[in-house]
Amino acid sequence: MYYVEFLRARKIIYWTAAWLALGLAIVLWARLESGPSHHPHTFIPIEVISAVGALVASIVATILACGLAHENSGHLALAWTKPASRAQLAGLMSLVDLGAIYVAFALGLAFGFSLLTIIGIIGYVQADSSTIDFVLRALLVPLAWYGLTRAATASMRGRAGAVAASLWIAGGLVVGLDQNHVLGGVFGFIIAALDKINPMYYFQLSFDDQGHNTTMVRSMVAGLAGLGALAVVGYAAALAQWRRLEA
Amino acid sequence: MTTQLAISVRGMTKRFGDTLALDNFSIEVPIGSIFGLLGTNGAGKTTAFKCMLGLARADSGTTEFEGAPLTPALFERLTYVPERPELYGDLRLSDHLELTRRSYKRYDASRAAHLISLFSLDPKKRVGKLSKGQQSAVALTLALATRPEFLVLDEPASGLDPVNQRNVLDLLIGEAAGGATIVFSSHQIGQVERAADRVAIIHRGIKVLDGEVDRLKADEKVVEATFDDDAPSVNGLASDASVRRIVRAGRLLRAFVRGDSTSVANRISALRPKSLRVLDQNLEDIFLNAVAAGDGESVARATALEG
Repeated sequence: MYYVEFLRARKIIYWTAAWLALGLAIVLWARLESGPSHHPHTFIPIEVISAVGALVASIVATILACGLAHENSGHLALAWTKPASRAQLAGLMSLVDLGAIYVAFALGLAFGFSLLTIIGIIGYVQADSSTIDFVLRALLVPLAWYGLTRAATASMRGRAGAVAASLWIAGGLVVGLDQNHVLGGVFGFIIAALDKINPMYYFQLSFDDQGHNTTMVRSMVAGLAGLGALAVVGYAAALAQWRRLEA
Repeated sequence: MTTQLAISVRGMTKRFGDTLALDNFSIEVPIGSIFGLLGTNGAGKTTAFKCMLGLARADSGTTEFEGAPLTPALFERLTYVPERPELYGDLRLSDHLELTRRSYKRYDASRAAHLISLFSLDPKKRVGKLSKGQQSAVALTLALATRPEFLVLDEPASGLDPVNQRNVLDLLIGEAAGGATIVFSSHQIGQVERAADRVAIIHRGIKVLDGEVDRLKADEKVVEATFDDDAPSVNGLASDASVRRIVRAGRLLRAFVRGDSTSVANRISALRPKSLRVLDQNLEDIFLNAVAAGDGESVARATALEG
């Protein structure tokens, strides 16, 4: 009964792999054209590679999170007449998605590693004290996107993709406004509040001059808790909608 | 002896905003029977099916299968074919078969192969590329491949050519002969008459008639008279409790009668018609009478004009 989701996830993974391969091919071609590269003056944090994995996995997670909306676009009578409860069905679909998300993460890591190798700077990559924190958040952030998008699209019929894309745009906008304190007063408060349900608030790829990550939520526990809460609460909200839908 | 019920729907009501889609709808379907649900477009047939199967929430009422409420596990033995096959257009028939195989323990590959051959389907084709009739055939193939004990079919032959409509009818009769219980709706009253042993007629969400097809037909007669000139009106006939509907069309007068038609025939005979005969009603007549009774005189008048 999760077979349709499996086919969907497999197709998305194939496309992801194809785009990443194309990206690498372009970089390789450019590298061969331009000759030896300039070496960096400082080390490259290993977070960069895991950030690529997180980014690829988060995009895939956002697409896969529209699965319930996909079923709601004219397939509920087929989906809900399987010998499984709606919660079981949604759970099995999410397990398939989970597998695909971390396959995408691995593809992203491989892409990042290959990219740095092609450029010739892989030897400058180093871990530091914040690496564990960053990698753990990188592993969780796709799930936060998954939960958020699933909650936003679970009861939709069509146009879920547009909503998912606008969540990324809104996320970038909100975290930018919040981090730079662009708005004051009530608007600033609203933006700060909205940012709390924004995965980008808990996971950012920004570094200071020494190469240390300067995310808004400095505490590892708070960052992981925020991302985890988005994933769990988002999933629960989506499930509640899914169980109340009518075919 | 009490008949064992496969499906029992009691007092089902469903509203969509201000619209009452189903009003205290009840049916009882004995095990191994074929039950036809008839109604005009928008009468509430699809809503009734969806509420029965939990796909839509009824505001009130209950549905029981073999005396117990519906559970997800029952879908191992129950299949539903919706009016519009809710298939995945971007997947092939072979993908749908694989989905069905993985979802139902009772999936029978040889049965599926037989049905694919019967409907001349190509498993490699994407379902979205198939015609409406072929999609209906795919939905039926998937449904019947699980060898279900309960079949709920909403317009199962919709869009099919006459040959495949007949195939579907034969399949349903065969399934019932094998012990399956079938509830289906159709606009093809001839199909329902041929296959169903019981029918219910639903109109504007209300069940207006329910019973065994043979008994309904035995109880319903039509007294048909022709006259040399325009058919005259018969005083007091419309108020006769046994008369369901009167149709006057030119020289033709038809009175649809429930129960004993002798007195009605005698009254029309007194008007000295050119010919007079008493006929059994077919299911189409019974359906039109029931709908007309639901609508009042307006439909009767419209039918008379058409006649």
